[in-house]
Amino acid sequence: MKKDLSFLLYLIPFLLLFRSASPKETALFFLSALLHELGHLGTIYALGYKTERFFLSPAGAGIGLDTVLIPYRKEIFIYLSGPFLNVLSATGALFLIRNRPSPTLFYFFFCNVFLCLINLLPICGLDGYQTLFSLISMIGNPEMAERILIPLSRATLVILTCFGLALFFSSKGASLLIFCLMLFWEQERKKATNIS
Amino acid sequence: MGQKLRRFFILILLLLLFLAPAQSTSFPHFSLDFFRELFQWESAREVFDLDEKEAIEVFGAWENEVFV
Repeated sequence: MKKDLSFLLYLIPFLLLFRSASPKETALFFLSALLHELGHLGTIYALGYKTERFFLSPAGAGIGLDTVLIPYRKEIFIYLSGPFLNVLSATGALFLIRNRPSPTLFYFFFCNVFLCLINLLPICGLDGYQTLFSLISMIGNPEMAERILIPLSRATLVILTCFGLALFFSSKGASLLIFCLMLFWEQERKKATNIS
Repeated sequence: MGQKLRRFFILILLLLLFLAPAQSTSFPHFSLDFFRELFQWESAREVFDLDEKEAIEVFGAWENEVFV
């Protein structure tokens, strides 16, 4: 049986972002990402649904459910629970920093704030986009949501890329640009999946 | 088109992987630099409620500003 190993390519950006990081720094970022996914997972189970599969995508990790028939309101809860857990973790880290300052805790705080903010952007493949999609579909319909959100997603990604370029040229590194590239990649992957 | 774009993304990432200095693509390094870019020294200290010594320990020194 031929196995699809294309997901291994998604590891290249992470290798880029963490090749010079210490194991502790890498672990803290992935712990923040894990907390994000646990937020989604906890809500899925709390709402009485079951997971079917976990997968990697250029934008990170994903969870597949055993059903596609979920009320929009519940979908919104599921999408927002990941960033919400990041907010809780960042608040916890902030509280700890105030009592016992350390660069490790600050980095953990930053990872959670970063993951929360990035995920709330209305870019295809991220929680912000999916939340808005469910919200607009609830008010109007899915076609209307697509008409509004696809241009919004592209515009937001272009603005984020410009911001990434500005940071890059002010020698603040290429990390945000790499994230943008991952998001462009995710958009293309989704487009290809929808066509095929 | 999709396949070509995918190859393009992978090519750029591989080029960065082999040609860019490790620090320039490092996320931990970026986090500190980005934070310094956004916040002023005093406001950062206020947010985290740190004295000067603690703040230097956590964030290091800000560019163009002398604390010690």
